[in-house]
Amino acid sequence: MFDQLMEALNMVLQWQNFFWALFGVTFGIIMGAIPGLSDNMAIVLLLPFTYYLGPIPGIAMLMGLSKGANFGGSIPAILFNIPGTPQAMITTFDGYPLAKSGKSGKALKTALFASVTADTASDLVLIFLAAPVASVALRIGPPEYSMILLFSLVIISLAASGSPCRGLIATCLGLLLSTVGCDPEMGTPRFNFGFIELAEGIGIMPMAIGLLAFSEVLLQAESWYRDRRSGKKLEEVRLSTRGTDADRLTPAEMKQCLPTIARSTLIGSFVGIVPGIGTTVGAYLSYIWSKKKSKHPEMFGKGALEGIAASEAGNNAVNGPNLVPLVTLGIPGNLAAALILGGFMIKGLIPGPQFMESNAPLLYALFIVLLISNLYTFVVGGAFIRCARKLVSIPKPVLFSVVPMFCLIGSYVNNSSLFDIWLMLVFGVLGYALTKLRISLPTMIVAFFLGSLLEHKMRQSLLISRGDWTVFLDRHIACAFLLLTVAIILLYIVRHGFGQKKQA
Amino acid sequence: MNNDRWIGLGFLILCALMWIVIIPGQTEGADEAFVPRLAVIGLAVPSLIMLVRRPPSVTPLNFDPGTFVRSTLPVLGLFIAYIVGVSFVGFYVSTACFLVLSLLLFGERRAKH
Repeated sequence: MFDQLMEALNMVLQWQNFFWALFGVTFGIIMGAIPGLSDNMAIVLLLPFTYYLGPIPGIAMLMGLSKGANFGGSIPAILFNIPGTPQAMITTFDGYPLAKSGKSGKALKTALFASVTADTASDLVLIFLAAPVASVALRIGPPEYSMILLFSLVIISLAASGSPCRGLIATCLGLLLSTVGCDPEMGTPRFNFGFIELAEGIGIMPMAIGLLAFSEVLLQAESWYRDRRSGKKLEEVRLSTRGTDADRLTPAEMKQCLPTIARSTLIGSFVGIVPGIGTTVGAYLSYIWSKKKSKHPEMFGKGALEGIAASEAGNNAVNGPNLVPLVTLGIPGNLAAALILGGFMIKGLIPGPQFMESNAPLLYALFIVLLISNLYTFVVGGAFIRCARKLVSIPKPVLFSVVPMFCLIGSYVNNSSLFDIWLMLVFGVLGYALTKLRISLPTMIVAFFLGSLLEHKMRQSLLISRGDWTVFLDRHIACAFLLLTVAIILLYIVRHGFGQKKQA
Repeated sequence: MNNDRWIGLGFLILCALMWIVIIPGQTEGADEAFVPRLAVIGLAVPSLIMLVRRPPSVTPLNFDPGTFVRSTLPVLGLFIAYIVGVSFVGFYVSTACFLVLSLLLFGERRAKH
């Protein structure tokens, strides 16, 4: 192993690797910071460039992109309440309130600190646990998978802020939307209402852009108009003054956030190892769990540093372990990993069970580059935070005009289809309406992500068992998660009844 | 009737529409309709609870029809015109027009010096 490590170091210590990793991180932060664009779009745009690069610089650039965009999405989430990427939407819960109270610098630095710490820790998880974890992942079959997903859905329903009834409505709306397209087994059209463009289901980009970015523009434009008419001082983010406590993350605050970051890293790593669940769920589950464990849960949603740390650590901690199924089994964990798999294949490398044995030095070299990319994220992210002042000084009318333009571009580039733009508009109006009804959009989006996977795995399980529902009881891991789900529902009803959750 | 009850009633009507009209019309067979029907039941249960329970607190909805008509509808109308413009005129011209018109709509004006 020592010889392989030495060979890996030899492969890494070339200027091209450092340069392209830095380029990837920088481009990723920029793409992530612009609402309507995303890490996936950034990877798609730069994937063709990997033809001209060696395997390590090419893959390093793509991985740097993913890391940079994960942090970049938190910048507009904190400053404008508009997440730059879907996984940054949880950061808006505490990031924006903290920025409005004049502590934008503290909020952004907390996000950066949590992102880099969790990303580094999860990369170490990838490096040391890839092989043993792959053997556990092999034992998770469709019944276990579906019960883990059902458990996740119940958790996010009950923990949705304000009301479990609204949480359940949001979850079921997300599940219904995930059934649009075609039946996963029969392949027959379902809920596409004659639109051929919906044959593959609702695109995640138009949906996420509409619900998160465009609806936010409508809401902010409305409150801006109302405040202007009433003569009320516009509620804007007050930039923190440089050098003050409001602009810094003190060592005491870093220490305060560490337990939250550690907890969120564990949750994000677990979520990342299981293919298909994704960064958004990692962020949400980390946030919910941290709120439960916090000494001051009442501060969550009002600008708690732990809230920002939990969300950012949760979504960044998914990155490293997401590559575990990719490099060990050849199964991409999410869209970004699938695109990175494309990058591997362009270079003639086929990830899978034999990959670790036959390409160990290359794999170790990539792991080293991952750690270097985290350092770049810290440095480049810190520089971007200083430029964030310029973003906040942009007049609101300019933002309200430019963001819809980016929403249009972001919806269109995926499929080059005008239908996606109309779909984005529909979801924008739906997001506006659901926000007015106080129904949680993040819950709905997470349920949408998980819904199609849940249906697919449940029906696979029933096919394997020939329609016998006891398959979920016969398998130990599946049964454990099912009992846990029922126990949580019963516990919740006993403690809270069916009423609104009491706000502390 | 307070807001929670209206919301519950609205979603119950949606559930009825889904169960009776939309699901049978858009699916073939019981297997295909299984998860959608499960989701509709999941939607109906909390809607029914919201309809029948005594609400724990009366929180008004943050919606003013006048503001909606004067601010949100024009933004939506302008964006719809933008999309139509992109399909007929092209991206660059439509975008330039949209940016100028939306800046004017939001009252962004700079005095000449």
